[in-house]
This record gives sequence, C-alpha cells and structure tokens, in this order.
Amino acid sequence: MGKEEEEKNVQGAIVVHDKDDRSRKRKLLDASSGAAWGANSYSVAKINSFKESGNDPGFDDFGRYFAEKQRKLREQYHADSSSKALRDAAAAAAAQHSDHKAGTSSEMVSAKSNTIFQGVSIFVDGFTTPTHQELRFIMMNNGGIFENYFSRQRVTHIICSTLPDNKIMNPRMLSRGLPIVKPEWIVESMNANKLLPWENYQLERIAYAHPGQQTIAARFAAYREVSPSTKALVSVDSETAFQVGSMEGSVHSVAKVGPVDTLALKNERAGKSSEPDGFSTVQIESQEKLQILPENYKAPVCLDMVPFVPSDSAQEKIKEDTEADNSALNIANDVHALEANHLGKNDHQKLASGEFVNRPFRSSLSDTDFVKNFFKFSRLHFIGTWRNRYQTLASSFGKDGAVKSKDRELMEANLDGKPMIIHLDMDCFFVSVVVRNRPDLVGKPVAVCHSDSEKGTAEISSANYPARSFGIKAGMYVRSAKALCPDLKIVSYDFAGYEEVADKVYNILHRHCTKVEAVSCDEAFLDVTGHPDPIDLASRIREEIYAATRCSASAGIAENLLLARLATKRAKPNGQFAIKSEEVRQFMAALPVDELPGVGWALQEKLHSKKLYTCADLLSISKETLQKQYGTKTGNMLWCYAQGIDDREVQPAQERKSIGAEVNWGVRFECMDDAQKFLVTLSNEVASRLQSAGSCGRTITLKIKKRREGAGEPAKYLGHGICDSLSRSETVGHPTNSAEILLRIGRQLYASLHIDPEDVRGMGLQVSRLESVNAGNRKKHSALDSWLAPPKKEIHNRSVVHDKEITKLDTTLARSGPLQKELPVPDHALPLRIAPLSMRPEANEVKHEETYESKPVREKESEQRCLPNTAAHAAPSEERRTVQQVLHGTEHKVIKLQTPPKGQRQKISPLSRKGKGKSIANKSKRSPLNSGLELQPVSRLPTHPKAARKVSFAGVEHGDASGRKPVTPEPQPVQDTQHAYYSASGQSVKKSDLVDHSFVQQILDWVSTTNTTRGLSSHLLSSRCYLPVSESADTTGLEKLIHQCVKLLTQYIRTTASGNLEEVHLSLLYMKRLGGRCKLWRAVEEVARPAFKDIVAELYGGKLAIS
Amino acid sequence: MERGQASAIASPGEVTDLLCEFLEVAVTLLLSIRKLYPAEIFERRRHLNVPVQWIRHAELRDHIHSALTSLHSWIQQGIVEKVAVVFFDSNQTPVERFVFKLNVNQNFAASLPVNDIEYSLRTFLIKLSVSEPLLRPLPQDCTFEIIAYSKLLPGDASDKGRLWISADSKQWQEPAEITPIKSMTSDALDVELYVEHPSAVDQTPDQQLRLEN
Repeated sequence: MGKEEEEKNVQGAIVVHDKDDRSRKRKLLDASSGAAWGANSYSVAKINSFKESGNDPGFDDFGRYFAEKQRKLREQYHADSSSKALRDAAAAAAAQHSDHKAGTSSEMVSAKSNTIFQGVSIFVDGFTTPTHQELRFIMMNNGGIFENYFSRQRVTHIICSTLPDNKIMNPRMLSRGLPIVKPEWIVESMNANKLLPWENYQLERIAYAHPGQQTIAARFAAYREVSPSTKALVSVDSETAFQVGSMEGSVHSVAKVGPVDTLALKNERAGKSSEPDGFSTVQIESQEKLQILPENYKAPVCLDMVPFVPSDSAQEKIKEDTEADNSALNIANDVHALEANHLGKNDHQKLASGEFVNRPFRSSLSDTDFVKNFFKFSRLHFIGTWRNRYQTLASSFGKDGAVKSKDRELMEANLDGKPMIIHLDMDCFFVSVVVRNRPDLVGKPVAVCHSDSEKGTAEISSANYPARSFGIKAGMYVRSAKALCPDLKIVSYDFAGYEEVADKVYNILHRHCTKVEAVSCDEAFLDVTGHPDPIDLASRIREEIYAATRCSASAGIAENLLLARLATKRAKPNGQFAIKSEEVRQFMAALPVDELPGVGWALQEKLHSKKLYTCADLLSISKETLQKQYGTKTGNMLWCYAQGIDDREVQPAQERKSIGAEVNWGVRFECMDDAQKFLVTLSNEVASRLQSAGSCGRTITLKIKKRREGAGEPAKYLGHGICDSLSRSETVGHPTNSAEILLRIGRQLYASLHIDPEDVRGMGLQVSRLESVNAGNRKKHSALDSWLAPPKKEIHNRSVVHDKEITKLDTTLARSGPLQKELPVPDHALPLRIAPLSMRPEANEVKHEETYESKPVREKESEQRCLPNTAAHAAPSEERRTVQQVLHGTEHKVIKLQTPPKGQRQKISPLSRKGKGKSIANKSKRSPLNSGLELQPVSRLPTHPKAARKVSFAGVEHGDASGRKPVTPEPQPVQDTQHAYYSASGQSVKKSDLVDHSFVQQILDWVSTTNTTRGLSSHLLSSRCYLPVSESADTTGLEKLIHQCVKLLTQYIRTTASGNLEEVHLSLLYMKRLGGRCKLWRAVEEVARPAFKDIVAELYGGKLAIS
Repeated sequence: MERGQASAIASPGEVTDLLCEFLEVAVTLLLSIRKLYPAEIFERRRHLNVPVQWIRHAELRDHIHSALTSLHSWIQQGIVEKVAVVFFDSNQTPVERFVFKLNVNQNFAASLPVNDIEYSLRTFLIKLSVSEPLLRPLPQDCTFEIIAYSKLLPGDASDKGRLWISADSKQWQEPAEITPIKSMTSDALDVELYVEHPSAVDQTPDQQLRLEN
C-alpha cells in the first residue's frame, strides 16, 4: 500500500470527522473565551463556512483567505512529504545542521516503515530545539502531520519548550485539553523507532503546576497516541472493533479507537481487577470512554453516554467498562464530594464491597438514577454524612449495653461537680480500621488513599504512626509520600469497617457517659462532670474500645473542651494526658500559638510576624489590642484560648435543621424537560432522605447554580465553573415529606427563577424547618386551620451570591402560620415599646411596669381597679374616658407608693453622696460619654461631673431638712425665679412654690436625675404620658403648673445645650410627640419650644430646625 | 496603627490624635455623602470598625489630611472652637455648613480610656453616614472649604500652621437653621456635629407650615 494512499485515508478520516462535528465544533469555539493561539478559532470557523458555501474563489474576507492559505499549506506539505527527492534533499539539509539529525535522518530514510507518527499531528509553539523546520521535516518523513496554525481539530499534540506564565496558569484554555509536549518526545520516539508515550515528555511546569488537570488531558490524548500504533491490529480483531463501534454508535470510534490494544490491557488487568482500587489499571478504559465524549456532546458540553447494548462477545467488556465508569465516577466524586454536602443514607457498604451498579458513565441527561449514583460513590460523602447517621442512631447507643454503667450513675449523682471533659480521639482511625484485619501490616507504614496508581497523584487521606515518622502527612501526594518512604503500603477505604468501628466506639462512650458530643466519626467529647476519677474512667474507656475494635484511642482530660483537645494532642498515640486546673497556666504558656484551634496558617503567619509565638506571648498584650489587630471575635478567641478559657459546652447530638440534596457537578440540561426530570429525581431523593430520617419539613428551598454570563466551559471537567448561586424558598402550611409536594413546589420555584435550562450547572433541593413525623401527626388540626386560613405562602427574596461566597440561605422570614398571631396593636398606643426599665428610679418603676404592659391587658386591669372613680370623670367619648381612667388609676397608685421609697432614698442617697459624691467630684470620674447608645446602666445618683452642670438639680432632689446648699455654685447666672427652684430645699419647694402635682414632680425627678449617659430625652422617650389634666382644673392652676414645668425644663436645657445640641433637639421632639397624646404636654411644649430655641440661638447663633 | 495598650487612659496628645483622625475621616465621609465628587474616587474602608468612605485621589486626600493634621496642636491647646466644612454653590454662596464643635478640656484629658472615646466617635461616623435624609441635594458645581474657628489668633505659626489663612467667606444674612446630627459630652472632650442651612430663604412653604405647628 502506498504511503500516499494511507495518508489520504488519514486525511479523509479527519475530514469526515470534521463534517460530523462541525456544529459542535463551532459551539466549542464560541464557548472558548480565551484566544489561545492567535485568531485560529475565527479562521477555523470560517473554513467550515467556506466549505459549506462551495468553492467561491474570491477572498472577500479574512476567513476565506486564511482558509485558502491553510489549505494551500497543507497541500504543499503533502506534496513535500510525498516527494521522495525532496525528502532526500531535505535530509541532506538536515544533516548539515547537526550530526545527530543526520544520523536520525539517514536512519529514517533507510527505514522502510516510516510511519511512527502516523495519526500524530503537531503544532509547534515558540522556540524549540530541534527547530521548527526540523520538526516539520521529521514529521513529514514519519507519517506525521505538521500544522502551521493551531486548530483544536487537526492538532493532536502541541510541541513547545517554554511557555509564558499566563499560559502555564491556564493550560487548558490554551491547549483545549491537548497535551503539551516537549520536542524531545519527537526526537526520542524517532530514535526508538516507535511512538513513545508522551506523558513522560510533558512540559514540566504544566505537569507539576496542574497535577489534577493533567489526567483529563491525558484521557483525551492517550487514546490518540495509542490508536495509531495499534492500527495494524485493527484488522486482526476487526470484529470486536466493529462491535465496540456499533455499541457506541460511533463511526468515529471505529475509525480511531484501537480496541485490541485496550482489550489486551484489560486482559492483562483481569487478574488484578478484583482489587477494589483500580485507578491506574482502569485508566485506559476511562480514557477510552472519555475520548468518545465529543461524539456525545449535546449542549455546549454535555456528556451523555449512549447506553450499552449487551452482546455476547462484548459481555466482558461491558462489565469492565462499567467498572471503569464507576471508578472514574468515584474518582471524580472524590474531587467533587466536597461541594456536595448532603444528607442521607449511606450506600458505602455497597461501594466498599465492590457491588458496583451496572450502569454507564453518569449523565444528568439520560441517566435517570444520576442523582442516586452521584451520592453512592463518594468518600467524603461518607465522612460528611456520618454525623447524620450518628444522629439517627444516637438514641439507640448505649442502650443495648443493658446494664447502665456505674460511671453514669456516679455522674448523675453528682451533677454540680467541677466541670471535667474527656476528649477522645481514635488514633489514625482510617488506617487502623483497615489494618486491624490485616496482621501483615501491623507496625508497617500504611496510608489510606483512594488510589495506588503509579502516577501517584492521589492524595493521602490518613497515615499511621510508622508512616508519619517518615514525614508523611494527610493531603500529601502518594508520589511524594513514596519518595519519603518507599515501603509505604497504600490501602483503600473500608467504609463498612469505619461504620462498624464508629458504632462500637460510640456505643461504649454512651454506655459510660450521657453527654457525648460527636465531633466526627473518630472524635468525641465526653462531659464527665461529677465523676470522681475521670482519669481512671478514660483509661477504662480506652481499654474497652481497644478490646471491642482492636483500634487504639487517645484521650485528653481537662476542665474544658479546648484543654481536653490540647491534652489529647499531647497524649497521642495511644495514650492519655490530663491537665489539672492548677497546671493550666503553665501548660498554656508554653503552647505554640499554631496549636490553638482556630489558628490556621494565615493567622499563624500574622501572629508570627508580630513575634507572637506562644500563648504566653499572646497574654503579654491586651485583649483589646488583639481584638483591634485581628477582629473582635478572633481577638477574643485568641485571648481566651491563650488563657485556657473555653466556655463552650459539650453538646449532645443536635437536631438536624435541614435535609436536602444538591448536585453541582455533571449537571447539563438541554431543554425544560431535562430540568423537570432532574427535579423529579432530586425530589425523590430528598423525600426518601426525609422519610428515612423520619422527619418532614415546611420550608422548601431550591438552589440553582447558574452559569454566569460570559463564563466559558469550566476548567474542571463537567464542573459547574463560574456560577451565580440563586435560591428561592417557599413555606408550605403543613410539614411534608412527600416527593409529590416537593416536586410541585420545586417546579414552582424553578419556574419562578426563569432560567434557561442550558445555563443550569447545579441544582439542590432542601427542606428545612423540620418536624418529626409524629409531631406532624399531632398537629394535624393546625394543618386544617392553615387550609382554612388565608394563604400565607411567601416567596422569599431571591438572593444572588457570587459563587465564591457562601450562599446564605436562611433568609427565609416566613411566618409560622396560624400559631403566631400578633396581638393587635391598639391604634392609640405610642409606637415606643422598648425602653430600659431598669434604669428608672424606684418610684417610677411602679408606674412603668403598668405603662409597659401590653395595652389590652393593662386597660382591662386598670379599668377594674379604677371602677370606683369612673363616675367622677365625665368624658366626651368612650375611648377618651378609658384612657383617662387608666391614667388616673396609675396616678393614684403612684401617689400611694411614692412615700416609702422616697424615705428610703433619702436615707441612702445622702450617704452614698457623701461617700462617693465628693470623691467622684474630685477625681471627676464619671461614666464617660453621652454617646447616645444607652448601654451602660445608669446609677440612681446623678453621678455628676463637669461640676458646672447639673449639681443644682441634685440640690432639689436631695436637699434635706437642714437646707444644705449645693456644693458647687451655679455656673451660669440664672433668673432669680428659676434659681429659686433649685437652691431652695426640696421640701420648701414642694410646699410653697412648686405646685404639688405629680406632673411637676415627675419632671423635677427627671431633670434632677439626668447625667451624661441619660438625659431628659431618654426619660421622655421611655415615658408614655401617663398624667391627665382633669379638664375641670382651674385655669390659673394649670397655667402655673405649665409655667413651672417650662422653667424646670429650660433650666435643664440651658445647662445641657452648650455641649449637647442633640439632647435639646431630641427633648423637643419627644415633647412634641407626647403633646400629641396629652394636652398638658402639648401646652408645656408650646411654651417650651420658643424658649428652647432662644437658648440655642443664644449659644449657637442659629435657629434650631424641628422637622 | 498601634495606639498603645488598649483600655489605657488616653493621654491629652492621644485624645487630640484621635480627634484629628476622626475629623479627617468625617470630612472625607461628608464629601462622599454630599456627592461633591464622583463616587468612583471613593472606596470603602473601615475606621474604628465602621465602614466609611475613603478618598482614592491622592491630592484631595492629602489636602484634607494636611488641613486637619495641621490643626493638631491648636486643637490640643484648645484654641480651635469649631471646625466647619462649608459647601458653596457656583456663586460662592454657602449652601450648607457642617460644624464640628470641639471642646478639649486639658484638665480632664487624662481621665478617659481610649476605647471610650473611640466608641463615641464611632457613633458620629454611623450617624453621619445615615444623615442624608436630613439634607437637601446640593446644587451643581459645588466647592467646599474647611474653616477652623479659633478663639484667638494662634501664636505659633509653625510650618504647618502657616498653611492656614484667615477666612473670608460670605455668610448668611439670617441666622442659620440648625439641625443637630450628633453630640457627645465627656470630661475630656465634647464634640458636637450639626448642620446649618440658610434659613427661610429657600425653604418650601410646606416646611414653614410645619414649623408653625
């Protein structure tokens, strides 16, 4: 067969391929946002249009021209490669360049089958050794293709020696998944006279910078390089090939897949395949699967595998394929499970025991059980959901022991003892559970990891102590771990074992202690407060655990959670450590800051940069400084932890707040139907989880990840990429766990979001406000009520959060339906309901207690109380009457009660004034600032201060019979009449000048008790006008009353205003408000306002604006 | 900025430091609230744990910074009575004056913990940032001026002090209308913030009516 012909075949195949994929290709190109290698995407797209439109000779645009140019270049290339003479000449030319080249080229010329690079099409980027031209020459002579311009379709390998940083950062964008290989690959392949695997020649920087990325690229590319080398074999086993091809419904795969080779690999693997971890061996399979992807792309990138048609000869293959699929799924899930924090049943036992479900590679489209499968194969899902399992089982723990342990009795008997916590942590749980059944591994370095592949790019999840002594840590790559310890034995997970051991452990813990907080499957806090000998208890528990599970545990014993945890660190492995309360300080002082929980890498760096290394260092600076530096919470945490203070309590299993399922990976929809189908499966899944948890909920939340405008295909294979997270929730009247209702609501919510199904990248359904099923039954009648009641469904705010932020869902403010009925607010009530009662003087408290009771109740009560008085007051309207009665009633009470506290006060306050007042005045220490936020409790005494200001009021209040004058002289000249109120003794004022009216008394009380933190305005604010002015009072008396009040008030304002305009303003506003409710206040306010304004004008030279 | 051990009693110098810093932030915040400049020149920052606006434009920032830090010594001596930010319209007629009335009491300056001062100043910033409803929109092309009112002519014209000139700006005919925004009183430090508008001249009849009530 002539070489030319063969090449034509290749070319033909490519063309066919192009035609098949034309539409998809364009989509791909449109989707790619980064221009990788120049304007190629544009030109390629144009090539297609050119082809479609036939041979239009004119170059009316760049695309046409460029397509034509490429075509010409290709023709030239083929002409070149088919021209032997030319080739020889070129070889001679190459020989002149270098000896090395000369050797190879001569060798090549002599070689009969120079088809090493058949199927390989390279694109050379940048400077390379050997040069561009030489590489072209080599390709030409060895059946390869050299592309002058990059094209995702034609090129199979990118050859380059160096890359700029920005390309390194995002190699996928640049190569679109094609392998980026060093030129040495070409040279050495040629020397070896066969196509070497390109993986070893990957550009180092990419290989190391993106260990995770590489696998995907490898999957795409590996097959391309395998297929040519096995092409010869296709004929041998063409039948199989055909079957495979037909099974996959793909002409393309017939043309290109080399099934024999992979089959051979499979057979080779057959012996091994019983091993649960088949990452490396199965890899080729996965690659094969994945490379077929393009055929099945539907949406921009939508993975959809055509289900396999079982056929006898392909039985074996199918079986293994599915296995491969599952393992691939498993691997992928390991990556993605973090995103999927879900609740629900564990199917890990199945997974662990190798019962793979016979199902092709997932797809949200055709695979109806996609959701179920998604959760089935995840390691992190196990860890994440273990707690839920524990919660459901928690009640059963400790009971099967039948005999209640003595420890529990001891603790129950002595509940108020000194707090004592045991922290119990299994030693390298994930390893030791596996090792306990493998005596051959005891004492050897062992690590748990999902894969033991040769590439070693899997991460170690846990390592035992012998392994740790080599420096192996969790999170390390297997590759680097093996470099540290070549004998390291890698084992895979044993989920069933973990569950079994964890159950046993918790059983033991619950038997000994009632208050157990499960931190995770291998770590727990026990509150053993009251136990006489916690150290002994800990050692007994540990012994029991070892006896039951053959896994060792370590324990820390201390007075709080923090110390117990730190003690455990000290105790490991397989030991226990107690911190006595007198040793705490010493223990903490020496502790490095990074050992404190909550101190991560970043915070540690910050602390170290401030030269803070140990807890003792932390304590050397003040808490406030810490808080200022690191934020209030963190600062507080550091400060407390450094002292060994931790006030958290052991929290026994908590109720679950919500149950849901979310899938953010592999979700691709084409049309509304797909989304609806997915919703069906999702709601079924959630419903089954709800049912298995025995609960039902009322708020249903739908979370959608929507592709952000302009975001391209994610770097992560089938990941969700850059998304906006949307969520909507709705509350139903009756708690539900039925899939139907979930689906119905879910559909409504989905519809209300108005999303193009093609943009959906993730979907989650969550049910919150859970109730147990039994509780739901009990409340059946209320459900009926809610049906009868007007609908209270609310659609909640839609929250759009950027993907990187945490989606906050609990913005639901739904009413809880019929149960929460707010008391009707009386229309005449002042809108001021919150007021600091405790700050009131005693005499007022009585009034206020009444004043602040909810209006209806108060009205009733006082009405009853005041019945005898009703007749005395004739009032125009019914409502008016009630109010007056109420007010009157309180007034009576006030007058009655006022005397005794007053006497008390007189006894107490002068003393305290003598004791403190002077010293306070001297040191002038007063509660600092009138900041407007009244957080500080106000003492009864006018803690007074800028002596200038308020002392005079105190004179009125506390002036005793001897007529003691205020200590400090009046600061400002006041009119004589005003002055009289304050300088005279309290009693004389009451008797002679001041109207003996509780209203004036009240104002006097307020004015005299103001201080910097609590001015008149706050009294006014917290007071609802309770004083009536009986209409019958004679006008002169009333006028006098008002006059006196205003004088008191202006006196106050005058002293206050110079430093506190705000207070003046507020007082006026509040008085005005009170005026709306009470005639007397209105009168007072009318007189006071101009007076106030005058004062302000005097001091500030402007009019006070009152809105 | 390390401001000594917290909960420590502020020295007189520190009180003034705090005050100057606060004034700088507050003036900047004012500019952003009054929308004198495009919003793009501001960025959100945190001062005393309160979100405030901070100027990105270096020269404007320096101008405000130097104006207020140069007041430092005068404030400390108690010479400065008021610091006002006045907004002028295009005719150089003042349309709005924000007045910070300061009273630093030297004798008591040592009695206040730093935290308490910060705590109070913080409320100013919060109140200021929500004070927009109290204010009327400014006309186009406004300018602003920072005016310090001193009780006496500052004797020591140190190099920074020389930057100040005696003010010569138009005043309103009628007494201004005062809207208080925030006040704090303490032994060491009284700060009041209120805004003045020209009275009655440009008031709507509606507002006048309400005043009468």
